[in-house]
Amino acid sequence: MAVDPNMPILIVDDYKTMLRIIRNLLRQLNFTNIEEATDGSMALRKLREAPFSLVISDWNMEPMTGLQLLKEVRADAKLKDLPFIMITAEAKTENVVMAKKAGVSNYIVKPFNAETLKGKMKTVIGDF
Amino acid sequence: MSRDTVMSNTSKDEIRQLLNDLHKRLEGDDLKIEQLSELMDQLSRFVGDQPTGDQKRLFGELDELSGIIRKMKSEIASLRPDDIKAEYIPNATDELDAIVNATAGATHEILDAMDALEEFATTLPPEQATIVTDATMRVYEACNFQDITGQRTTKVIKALKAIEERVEGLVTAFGDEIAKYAAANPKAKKKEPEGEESLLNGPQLEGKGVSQADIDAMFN
Repeated sequence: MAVDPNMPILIVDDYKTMLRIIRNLLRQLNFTNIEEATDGSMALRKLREAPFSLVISDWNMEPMTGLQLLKEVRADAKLKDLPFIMITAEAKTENVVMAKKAGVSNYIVKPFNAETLKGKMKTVIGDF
Repeated sequence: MSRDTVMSNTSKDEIRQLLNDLHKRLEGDDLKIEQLSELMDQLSRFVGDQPTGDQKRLFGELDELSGIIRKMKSEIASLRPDDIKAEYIPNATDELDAIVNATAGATHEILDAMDALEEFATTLPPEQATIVTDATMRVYEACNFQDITGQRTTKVIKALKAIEERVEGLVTAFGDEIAKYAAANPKAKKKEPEGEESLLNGPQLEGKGVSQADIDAMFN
């Protein structure tokens, strides 16, 4: 099934600049229905208020980190199957292992490029 | 009968107590020269005029220890940890904060410019529009640097704060010695740069230098 470019995507990062970069890259990949959150708890509120098809989240945020957000999502009956990509500067093996264990769909290390983002999104949500 | 054997059990207990106290203070980094001198005075009460070989060795060791501590404290005081805490670390963290803010501001400007270019690209023929959007995408990708440099700088600031806390501990522990050292060794007056060199101070922090408006006012 083809991916709907109008699918709602939630991007989560405490750096406004990063939100803007990811939003622009997604827009260039023709995804335009993008919502933003600046930490895990704000993201969780938005996820419970409206349906989303993909979460792209940073890890290192306060007060709720990306990993905590991921765990909350996976523990929520309504959200547990939501595709979740982590984009983070945390580049240690144990970070990736921990995120995988928590149920992350894919993992991108910063700095990243549009090609990497596109490739991981295709793996997670299907070809577009 | 040796002097050791005639020394009463009470006296031995007192010496043991004093040495235990010394040991605890050494472990807790809480030993002052005055306390060591006091300890030596107390010990000398038990020894009398003709100390045994062991007692002489003990006094020798304590005297050496006292010298080492005095030298160490003097060396630490000479590093002027009060200056490090009061001046160097705050200046360094302010400069790093300024770097993060400046790169964030510059990145937003770049992104604004890219947004304008993308908007403009919609008015171009498809082939030319593709060239522009490909180029803007590369700029977006390159702007990742701001997040990474921001996070790296935050790590350095955290490290500096940790050093500051430890230096503060030193200043508290060695406050007297530092004050004594500072009184005995007033800072040599820095040779002030002269001529053009005195004008080369690098970028100023927000609110510290003159603004362009101030400069313009000087020309009006």
